[in-house]
Amino acid sequence: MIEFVALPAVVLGMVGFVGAFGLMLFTPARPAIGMTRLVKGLILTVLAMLVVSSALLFMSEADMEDMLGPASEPYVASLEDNIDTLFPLLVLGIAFAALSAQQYEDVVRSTRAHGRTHDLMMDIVDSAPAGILFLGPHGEITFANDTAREVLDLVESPATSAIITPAWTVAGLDGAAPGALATLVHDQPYDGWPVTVRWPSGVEVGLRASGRPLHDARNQLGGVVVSFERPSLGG
Amino acid sequence: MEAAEIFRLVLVAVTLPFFVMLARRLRPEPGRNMLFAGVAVIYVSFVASVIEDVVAGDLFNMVQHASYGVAGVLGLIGVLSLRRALKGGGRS
Repeated sequence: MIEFVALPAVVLGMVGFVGAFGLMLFTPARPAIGMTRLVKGLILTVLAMLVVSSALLFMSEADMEDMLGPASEPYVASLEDNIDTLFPLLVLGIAFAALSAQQYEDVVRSTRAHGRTHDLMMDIVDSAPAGILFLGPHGEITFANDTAREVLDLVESPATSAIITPAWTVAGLDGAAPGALATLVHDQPYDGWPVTVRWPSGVEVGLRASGRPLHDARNQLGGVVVSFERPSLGG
Repeated sequence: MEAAEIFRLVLVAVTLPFFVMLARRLRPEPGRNMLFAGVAVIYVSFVASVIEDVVAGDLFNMVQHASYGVAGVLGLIGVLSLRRALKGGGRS
């Protein structure tokens, strides 16, 4: 009974491996599901090894080893051993390569989604009727939307993309002495603080600023988001 | 029992936990489980090739050969399913 099962089983396996190899050869790589060219190449290598391995098993079962000549015997045995030894390593390599490709695709997809969200948020912020600024811990303007740039005459340095603060000065809160925008940096939220921006020409713009502090992971003040409505001219 | 067969078994025992760990983190795709089952059946043939030298030689020799047949069929079905999914362009 055993001999009636062994030989047909090996032939069946060989046919299956040859068929799988042929199909895989003409299967397109698709990195989105982890099927990169590397993974495909490794699967093809494993299938080719299994074709050879099952062919050698078939020859051994069918007493056909003599066909290759007596001198080939040690080479055949060595080939069989090497194929079987490489198999677990290649299978591990396939799983590792497929997982790496899958994770890389996840990162790319996530980065694209993040970029789309960022672009949308920037469009929303830029088209907002209110002026929006982000001030660093020392009052430096690190971001300004279109309305804030228009109201405060802010320009971006072409070389560094940093926002250049023009020559205006800020009259302090509640009419205090003029100072920098650092007067708006506060680690507590505030609403409707009066701020007067004065240009060297004497033009003054009165703003009512609201601020929300942002803290970093160590609970240190990382900056303040300041918003103000489009002001009426004064002075 | 040959030294190469023992070495192969040790290699399978060492790599199998890592393989399972990696395979579990892969998203399920059509045909992938069939291919993994094919790998498992080949490992069964490795084990049978060692056991056949110790006990029930005929039986485990048959298991070794039958494993190749089963693995070949599983491999073919797995690649067919994978190919169909890849050509279909979707994940099922």
